[in-house]
Amino acid sequence: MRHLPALALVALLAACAAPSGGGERSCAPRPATLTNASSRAVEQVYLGNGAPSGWGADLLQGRELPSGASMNLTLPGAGPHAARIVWTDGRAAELPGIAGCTTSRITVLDTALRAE
Amino acid sequence: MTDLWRLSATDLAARIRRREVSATEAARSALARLEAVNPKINAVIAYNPEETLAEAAAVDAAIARGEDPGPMAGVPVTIKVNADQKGWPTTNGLRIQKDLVAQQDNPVVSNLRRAGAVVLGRTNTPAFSLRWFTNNQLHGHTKNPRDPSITPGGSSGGAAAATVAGIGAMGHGTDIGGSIRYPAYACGIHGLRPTLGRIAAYNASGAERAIGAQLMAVSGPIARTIADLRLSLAAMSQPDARDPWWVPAPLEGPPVPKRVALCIAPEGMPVQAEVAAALRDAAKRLEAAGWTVEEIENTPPLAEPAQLQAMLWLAETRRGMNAVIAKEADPDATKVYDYMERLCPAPDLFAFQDALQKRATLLRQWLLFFERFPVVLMPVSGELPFRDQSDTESFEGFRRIMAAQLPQVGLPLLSLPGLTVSTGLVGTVPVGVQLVAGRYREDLLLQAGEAIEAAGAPASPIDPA
Repeated sequence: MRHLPALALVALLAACAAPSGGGERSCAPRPATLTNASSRAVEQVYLGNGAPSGWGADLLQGRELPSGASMNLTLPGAGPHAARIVWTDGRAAELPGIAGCTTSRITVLDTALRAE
Repeated sequence: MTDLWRLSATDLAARIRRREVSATEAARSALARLEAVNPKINAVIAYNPEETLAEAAAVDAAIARGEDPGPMAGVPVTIKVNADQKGWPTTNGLRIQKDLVAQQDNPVVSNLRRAGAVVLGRTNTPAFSLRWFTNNQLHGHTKNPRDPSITPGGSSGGAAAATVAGIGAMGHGTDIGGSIRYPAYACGIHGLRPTLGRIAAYNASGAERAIGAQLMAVSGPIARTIADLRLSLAAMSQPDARDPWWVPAPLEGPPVPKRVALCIAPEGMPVQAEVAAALRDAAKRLEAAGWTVEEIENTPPLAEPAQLQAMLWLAETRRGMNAVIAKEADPDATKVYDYMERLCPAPDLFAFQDALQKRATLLRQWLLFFERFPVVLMPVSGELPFRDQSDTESFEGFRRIMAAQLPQVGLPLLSLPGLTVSTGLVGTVPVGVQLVAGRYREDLLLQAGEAIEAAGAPASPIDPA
C-alpha cells in the first residue's frame, strides 16, 4: 500500500477518530485492548493526551507486538486521549481524539489506527 | 551594577524591555568589552561605535514612544563577514572582496534588527568560509579565547570566539559543513544549525548561490545559553521573500515521545575517549530529565551523505572558482581546496544526477529513523578541538580531520538540523555533544539541549587566555 504523506495521514487519522471526548463526563480509568491487525509487527506504543508535554513511556517497553497479537491498555479516565504506534520498519501512526469513557478497542491497521 | 556585557541575550532584552537599563548602556558596555579583549583574539574584524550607538539609541527611542522594541531589544549581536550588512564589505575573508560593499542587509541582519538587536561588529571567517580554522590574509588570525593553541573553529570562528569572550550575546554564523556547530564546540558554547529553509538568507552583493550552497548552507545562532539560541532562532526565522527556500514552519512541532538514540561512533568512526565520555554523560543527564535513552550501534547513513555533500559543494569550485582561488592566493585555502579535490574526484553529469536523486533516499531513511527516535545524540567531532592550523600540515592530517568531522559533514546534504551543546572542559579544551532531529524540529533539539545544559556547561563569558 502506498505510504501517505505525513500531513495527509494525520488529516485522515483525525477524520477517522472517534468523536471528540471534549464533552465527555468524567469516568474512572478503564481497560481497553489494542490489537495489531496490520501486516507488520509494532515496536512502540504510546498513550497520551496529544499535548506538547509528550507521550510518556513506551508501553511495550522494548518488546514487539507481532501481527495479529493484542495487548491490554488502561485509558486514564475521560478523554480525549491520543495513541501513537511505531512499526518495526520505522513508520508510525497516531490517532488523536480517543474518547476515554466509551472506547474499548484500538486497532492497528496497515496505515492507520482505529478506535471503537 | 552588573557588567551588562556579561548578561545573556534573554536577560538583557528583558531588562531593557522593562526599562531597567537602556539599549545605549548595553551598547556602551559591549563596545568597552570589545575594545578590552578583542585585540587578543581578533574575533571582530570591523566595527563602528557610532553606528552601534545610533542603533541602540533608536531602540531606546522606540521604547520611549511606547512601541514594542522587539524580543531582542538592545541585545548586541555580531554578524559574520560573509553576510551582507548595508554599508559594509562582504569580504568572506577575501582580499579580492575587500571593497564589495553591501547595498542592503541580508534577511538575517534585517530580521535581527527588526527584533531590536543592535549590530556590534563583523566577525572573522577563513578565506571562502571554507575551513574549521579561522585565518585569512585580509583580516588575520582568530584565536580561541579558552586556549590559543587550539582552533576557535571555523568557519564561524570569529562569531564563536567573540561570543564566548562576551563580545555580543549572540553571534550569527553560517553552516554548510559544520561551520556553526564546530566553532561552538571548539569555544565551549552552543550553536544551532537550523533546518534548510528555517532562516531566510540572501546576499544581494553576489551572484546567485550555486546549487550545493542552495541545498545545504544555512544561517544560525551561536550563543552562551540554549535559551539565547531559542530567542535568536525565533527572531531570525521571520519571513523574507528574498529567500525562495524559506519555509513557514511552526517553531513548535507536535509532541513526540521523549526518546533519544545514543550513537557513540556513527559509521564506526574513530572517537576519542573524552568525546565518548561526554556523550555518555549527556545521555545520563537526559535520562535524569525524563528522556528514555537507548544506545544504538549505528545511525542511518552519514558517510555517503558526507561524500555527496563534498561533491555538490566542490561542483561550485570546479566551475570557474579555481581561477578565483588562484587569484586570492590564500595559502591555507589553496591547500585545503587541493586536499578536498583529492578526496572527491569530479563527477560526470550522470554521477551528479545520481547524487541529487540519492538525497531523497538517504533523507527518507533518516526520517523513518526519527519516527522511532525523535532525537539522536552523537558526536560533533570524533576528536577534541584540533590544534590550531593543523589542517594544512599534510594531506594525511587533513584526511584524519575529515574523518573526525563526519557528523558535521554528513547532515547538511539531508537538510537536517543539528545542535552543539557544550558539556565541559578537558583541561582547557572544550568538549560537547551534538543533537540531531527531524526537519524543522529545532524545538526538540532545544528541549533536549536545555536538559543537558541544566546539568552543567563550561563557564562563560571568559577573559581570553
